[in-house]
Amino acid sequence: MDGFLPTFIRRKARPPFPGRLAQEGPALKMEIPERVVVPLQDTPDTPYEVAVRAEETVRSGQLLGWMGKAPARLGVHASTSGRVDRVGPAPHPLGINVYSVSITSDGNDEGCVSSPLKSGEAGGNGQKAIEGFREMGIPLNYGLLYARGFKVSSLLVNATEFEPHITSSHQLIREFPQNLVEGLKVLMGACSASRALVLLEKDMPSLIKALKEAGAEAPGIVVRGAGRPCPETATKDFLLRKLFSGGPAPAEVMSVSLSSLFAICRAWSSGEPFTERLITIAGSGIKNPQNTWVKIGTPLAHLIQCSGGSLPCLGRVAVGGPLMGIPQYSLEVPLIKKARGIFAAVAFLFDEHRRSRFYKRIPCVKCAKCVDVCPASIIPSFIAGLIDNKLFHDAEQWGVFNCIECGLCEYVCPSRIPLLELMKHGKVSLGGEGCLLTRSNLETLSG
Amino acid sequence: MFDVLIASLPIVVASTFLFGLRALWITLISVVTAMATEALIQIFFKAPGFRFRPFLYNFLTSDDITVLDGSALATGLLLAFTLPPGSPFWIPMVGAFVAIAIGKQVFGGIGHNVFNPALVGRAFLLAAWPAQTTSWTAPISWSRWICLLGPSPHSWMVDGVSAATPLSLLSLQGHTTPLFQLMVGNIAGSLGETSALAILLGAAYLLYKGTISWHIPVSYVGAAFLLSLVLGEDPLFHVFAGGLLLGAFFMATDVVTSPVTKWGRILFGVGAGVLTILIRLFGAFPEGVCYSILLMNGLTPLIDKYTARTYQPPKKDAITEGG
Repeated sequence: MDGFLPTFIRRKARPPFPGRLAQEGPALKMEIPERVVVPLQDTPDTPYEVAVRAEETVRSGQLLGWMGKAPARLGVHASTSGRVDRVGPAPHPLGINVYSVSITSDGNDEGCVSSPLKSGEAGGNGQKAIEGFREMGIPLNYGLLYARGFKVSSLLVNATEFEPHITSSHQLIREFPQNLVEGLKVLMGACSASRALVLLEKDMPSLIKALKEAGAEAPGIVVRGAGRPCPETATKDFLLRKLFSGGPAPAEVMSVSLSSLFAICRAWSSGEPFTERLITIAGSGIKNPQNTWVKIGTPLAHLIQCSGGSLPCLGRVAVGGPLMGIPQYSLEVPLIKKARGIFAAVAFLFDEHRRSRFYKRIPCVKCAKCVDVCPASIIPSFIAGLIDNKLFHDAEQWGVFNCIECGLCEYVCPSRIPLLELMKHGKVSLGGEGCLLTRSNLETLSG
Repeated sequence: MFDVLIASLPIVVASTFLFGLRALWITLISVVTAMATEALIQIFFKAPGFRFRPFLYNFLTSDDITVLDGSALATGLLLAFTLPPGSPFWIPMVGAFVAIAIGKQVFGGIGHNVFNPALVGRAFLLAAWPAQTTSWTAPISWSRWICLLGPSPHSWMVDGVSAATPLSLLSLQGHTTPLFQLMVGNIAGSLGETSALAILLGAAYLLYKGTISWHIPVSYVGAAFLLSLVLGEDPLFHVFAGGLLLGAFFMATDVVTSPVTKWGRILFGVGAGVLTILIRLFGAFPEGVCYSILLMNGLTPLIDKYTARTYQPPKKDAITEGG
């Protein structure tokens, strides 16, 4: 019940956890949607190549095209079998319209024959291996690897979950610790990394133990407990500096996500590309919050309806979690590869613009709750006021680029000011869309 | 803002208990006038094109009419707590009107005012009608209570024994009051300031809910305590007598008019505490809370500016460039 209650009843600093895991059992599997939209671009300006035409029949796992230009290109595969409906611009969670392939599924989900990576020429290490993974559609940080000559000294896996309600990372660790460690070992071999650090919250000892046991025979893998969860937007700046600043070569650290490790293991052992991932669907608008395996490219409307949400009551649907998620205009956008969850919140008393009257914005009362809660120690209310009045240069001087876009300020604000939106608007006005941390986290091409 | 209403309930109960139903009436008049003033000003000045026909619907759904957010309610309550129980009924009315209209709406509405509206109203009343706002009555005894619960308004009038508050006793006659009386509140004073127990109960609720932070009250009371200790007065007396506790927990912590940073809040509290004791001991007024908080409110933007951090843009080097 995240949106309902008035300010003086709820609004502690973080939304309450509904118990640590959305469910106790294994992850469910979502039924195959009628339509799958697979994007070939991250933004309307990304280069791409298409390998299929309209009216073609495709099978699950078949190559549809590439995102980006060779050699830094990322393979894009069909998530389900069916017929290609249309190849053209379609809505995307990050951009307005990007070039995508829409597939009408035939419900069978037939796979195509593929060869595991370990037996091919991609086995081994270095550039060929990394490019092999990226051809399989796995987002890896190609820019960093290219700059380092495909050799990094350490890998960092941030398995802490900053967003409340989103538990897909922990579900993955609970169910498949062996696969994750296997993928990590393969990646370490591929980029000649001698050690890997996996961060988990300290208060999940069973998960730490499971990972440690699975990685027992690999000496380079270290699993460490973190006191507080770290948002992934802060990984590059804060976490890397803090963890590796004393070590030998702090610049040679690559951060990987857990789903990429799982996909690497799958591609390595059975040759399946990255077409499916585990996400959490949660929120007050979802009757049955769950961790499910969904196909990449499933429209959000299908995801919400299958987990018991009813579309007319929803006030905010975010790709991501309640704090850092990117709210969507249209529910026909597809699920992208790096999204860890969908969060749907109800609202009521809608006005003619479909904003909730109950949560209308009032002027800042300078209560400083945002200041108290900000992890980057800036003054969000003041900066948001400057941005409202278009004083972007002053906003930069007051620290708008120090914001890690964690969304806590917007959550605690009793005046319902969209602080995170304003900070993002300020960043975009000053430095363009590339400055947005939440956006670059969800971009597939750059890893 | 409804947190303040809940936290004020012990004080309202205590004031009714000590001073009779008239206290409740003063509080109600103050609250109703405050909310009515804000509603009227917003309807006529802030809501363009307001249609009067489906009045209630338009009132509740208009974007510019924010009366129901509870801030006018809180202002009315806090103003009533600073008034003596014997005040005629037009005093809270005029005070609430001035507090909202001049203390808040003229500056631009909620969030834009510089001075605490309740204290603006109080200062106005003190300057315009000093006699009515400083004539105190003693709390009523038990036997009087039965008579006062009669049905007609005449029986609600406190034909009270006029008495002096502990602070005026101190400044004019040099007579101190025992601490227990100060704590429980069986003394003369304004509606909200007599019972320290009720104030502390309400303040505990506010701190628990996170509506106020501990920096301002602790630094205010602490600074007042230390300064009065240094100057040779009885520090506990100064903390419990007069409106210092009410001011520290309810007035100075008004979020709009107090600084935003932690060190700023501590500075604010220390300044207000020091000024309160100085006005009490060396100034012409027996009570210094109202003016000290108003003076510090004026300094809040300056304090905010100088206690905020300066920011370096995040460093761009090999670690971050790799993404």
